[in-house]
Amino acid sequence: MARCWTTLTRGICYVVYGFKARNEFQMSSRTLQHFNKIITALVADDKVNGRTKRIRFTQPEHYTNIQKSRWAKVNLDQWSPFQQTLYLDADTRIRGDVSLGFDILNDGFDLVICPSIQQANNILHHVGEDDKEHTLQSIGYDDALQFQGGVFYFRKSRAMRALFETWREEWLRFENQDQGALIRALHRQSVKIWILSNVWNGGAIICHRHGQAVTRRV
Amino acid sequence: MWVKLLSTQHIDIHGVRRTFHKGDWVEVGGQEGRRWIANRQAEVPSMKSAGLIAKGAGAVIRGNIANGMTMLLKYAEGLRIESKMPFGLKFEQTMFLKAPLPARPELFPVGFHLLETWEAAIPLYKYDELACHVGNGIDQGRTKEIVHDLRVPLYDSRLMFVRNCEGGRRLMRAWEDERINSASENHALLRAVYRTKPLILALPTTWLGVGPR
Repeated sequence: MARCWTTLTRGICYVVYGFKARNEFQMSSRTLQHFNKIITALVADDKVNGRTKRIRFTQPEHYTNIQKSRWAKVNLDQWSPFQQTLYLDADTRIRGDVSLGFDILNDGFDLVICPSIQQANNILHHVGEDDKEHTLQSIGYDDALQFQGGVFYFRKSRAMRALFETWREEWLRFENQDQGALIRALHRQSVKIWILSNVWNGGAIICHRHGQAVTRRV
Repeated sequence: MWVKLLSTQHIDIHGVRRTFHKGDWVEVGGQEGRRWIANRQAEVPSMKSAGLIAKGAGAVIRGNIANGMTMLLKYAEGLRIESKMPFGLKFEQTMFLKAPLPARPELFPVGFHLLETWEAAIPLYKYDELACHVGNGIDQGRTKEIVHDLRVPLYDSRLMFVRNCEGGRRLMRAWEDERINSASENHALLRAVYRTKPLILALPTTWLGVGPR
């Protein structure tokens, strides 16, 4: 079984910690499979229904669910069983074919991602003040492009391994949200990036509920 | 680096907080200095003398040359400037500027600095006006053949920072190729980026005065 997984070319990864996240994942997964025949894998704190492969991933015990979900995300290169991965936040809803990003990775890009809708004065508005200030100070300017880290494709390349290592290192400074760490990492480590519009994150192909989690069991 | 303050700043010196006023000269670290300049909290007489741009950096002005020179006036000392448009890279770090342009000159040192990590740094054109909304049928058709889907943002070719390296040179040669029989420089640039896959850092649209949304 392990050999089968390590040769898989492409698939979807989720991170699912907590009851709300499990609810959201179930709905996201259903919409994904409606439009795409593709294998999914996840790390989670509990069993989830369906045919998704659960990957073992050890977390620090003292981490909250939010910290666990972020730590799992910045370790995707370590636990994803796929050569090419589409990471999806649990609160996404898929409305169409998601294969475009994989085609772009096939063509040689390392990372395919969308800009955040929060830019300019709203950059890093949701991270802690110390994280934000440290980020802007370390990159040396306030007007950087913020990417939305809830939907992105990546392939297992040397450059992406280096970026993930740097992202992890940066995330461990504050152990909170991941966007500030990603901005800092991208100012230390370059990769081949192709930018999609928000059609793929908050639009017609991939909707994103941005934290409006459902509390009732589905 | 030494910078001249444009507003009051409180700076810790050897653990003691001191207040400096507009017009004062202070010595700060490179990143802090760049950030203050980018935020118009400080200025320098010239980018080069302040150590904000590398020795081999230069600018290529396209379009309205006089307008472009005016924009660079503050930084002209020591910054080599060309106004003819070859697509080859004449300098170790080149800023391509097509004037008139609502660019923010205080960010130019940042653009050059980014080339220490990236092969190119270019602002996005707009977040919501995508390749499918811009350009004629010929450009859109050519772009779609290469990039698969036109629902992607364009890069804005009016302001580009490019390093003179293999990736930067390939990008510029590809852009020159794609501009042949193309009515849209931005479509041509998008195709060139996809074909050559440089290490390119996208910059926000606000670098060219376009609001976030």
